[in-house]
Amino acid sequence: MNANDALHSHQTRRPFAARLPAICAGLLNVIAGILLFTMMLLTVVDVIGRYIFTAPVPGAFEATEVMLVLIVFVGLPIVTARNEHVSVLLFYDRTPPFLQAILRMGARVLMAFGLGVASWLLYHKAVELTSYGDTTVILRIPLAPVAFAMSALCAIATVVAAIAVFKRSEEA
Amino acid sequence: MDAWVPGLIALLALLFAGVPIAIAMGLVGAVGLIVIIGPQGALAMVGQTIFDTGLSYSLSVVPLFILMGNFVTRAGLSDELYAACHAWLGRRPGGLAMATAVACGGFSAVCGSSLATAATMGKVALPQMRKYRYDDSLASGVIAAGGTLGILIPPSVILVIYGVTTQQDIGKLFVAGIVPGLIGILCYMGAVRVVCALDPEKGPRGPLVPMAEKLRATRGVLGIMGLFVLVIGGIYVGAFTATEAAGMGAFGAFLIALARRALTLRILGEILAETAATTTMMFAVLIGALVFANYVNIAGLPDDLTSFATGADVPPFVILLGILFVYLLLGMVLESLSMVLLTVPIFAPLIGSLGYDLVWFGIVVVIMTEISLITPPVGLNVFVLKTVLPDVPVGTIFKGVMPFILADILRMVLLLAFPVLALGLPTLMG
Repeated sequence: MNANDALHSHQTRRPFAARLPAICAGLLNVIAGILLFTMMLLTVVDVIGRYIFTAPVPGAFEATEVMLVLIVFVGLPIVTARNEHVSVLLFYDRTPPFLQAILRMGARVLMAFGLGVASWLLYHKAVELTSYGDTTVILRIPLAPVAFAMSALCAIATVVAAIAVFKRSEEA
Repeated sequence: MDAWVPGLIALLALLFAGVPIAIAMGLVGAVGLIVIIGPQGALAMVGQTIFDTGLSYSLSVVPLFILMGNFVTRAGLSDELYAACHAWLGRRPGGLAMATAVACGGFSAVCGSSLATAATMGKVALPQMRKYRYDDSLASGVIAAGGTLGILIPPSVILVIYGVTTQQDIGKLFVAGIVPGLIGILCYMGAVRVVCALDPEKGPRGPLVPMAEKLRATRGVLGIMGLFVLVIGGIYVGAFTATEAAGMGAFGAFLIALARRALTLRILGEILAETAATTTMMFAVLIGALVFANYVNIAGLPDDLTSFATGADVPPFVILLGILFVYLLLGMVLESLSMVLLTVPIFAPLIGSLGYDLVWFGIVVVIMTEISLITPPVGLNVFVLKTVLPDVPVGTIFKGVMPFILADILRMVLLLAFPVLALGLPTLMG
């Protein structure tokens, strides 16, 4: 089941709290989708502008960069929730069930820990960028809010991963 | 003991324990950096890498090409592509399997992923081959092998990642993949021919198709050809950068899907969300790999390798063969993107110091990656095909893939003997 299915099934008559993960996933999917579609259109408008009107979109590449980084981090809670991070399962699949449970637990703890550290490092980066007031060169997009957003999305993914630690089954 | 040895051991242990690759590489890399340069510098470096990696204009080609492939898949162009190849080649012995190899190559020209190519063509080609009583192992083998062309024939996600990590021109890498990709198609057709010569029962002749019908079927591939000419032609003549070509290609594929009424708002949303999730997965691995690469670089692994290789009294070619052997082994256990990200930062400086061309080496790495996608025990293409064709046993597919692995080895020998096969076209590009 992917996040879209989660969004479209069991929607009726369940308490808000139970629907919250699916609602969040749906929201993040929509944000990532809009960013991606905008990124595509921006490239096209930039190229057409350059060749036909000899007027490229100023700073298009900076906007593309910021959109790309946001797409990557908006997807992080979703990919983590769906347990879709790439892993090597060659040996894991061949270990006995009791060992698998231990390995799965260990992997999930490391996942939550790693994401937590990443979020913390991004927070520090954001604080540092705030004090310098760094922006992109042409569009003057302030970078500190971007880093704060990355840190927050990483934090959400950490929570998702931490909850998965306490789940028994294969599903995340 | 060298500072990189415990790191490599720890990484392999975590990977085999099933820890997600991104996390394993990131954590080992971070711990290694902390040990070598101290916590303050190390954490600042890791934080910078996490922040910077996604803020990259050249990497925006990755989601855009994935998006293009997803639009093309949903647009259903694969059916017409296969119908055209079927019409021209079906009459020959093993002709439907040859048509599959050609159609896979054609699909690769608009899709940068091997798994997507194998899955898409599997759905189209297998029912047809079964209809004409093709042997299951030949039919599934040619799809799994043909699917690997997805990462060689441009556009190619793996080549983009290679280009970014080695600072080679992505356009040149793409163009360098064209001829080896075509040779790949020919080798696969040859392999089908040999299999059917040994046992004609495996690939009986298809029906006779009149010329008018052939020409009509060919019209169906115009969309794919147009897209390929726009994207790769645009890069070749220098009209677009790789990112611009990816954006134009994605938009073109979007228009084609729209014109064929394959898109509703809901399907569009699904395609975009799926593309974004794939992007996140790839970038997570990329960020982890870059942190790990920082660590092995500071720990001196590439330098150690280079001095070992230049100090040892063996010809460069032997070292190259050693590297290929490492790829063969890693390819059996690692997933392709992680294998490339893990090995290229380590091997590229060595390859450069031996005097080999890094664009050529990129193609060599991609062909080794292609082989890894179909070799047991974890040929990912085989497993993707298995999900499309649940009733074919994995063993049958692996058996069917063997002749194509031999064809791949032949192609690799050609590429080693004649680097011009890869480098000819990019040189003409100027």
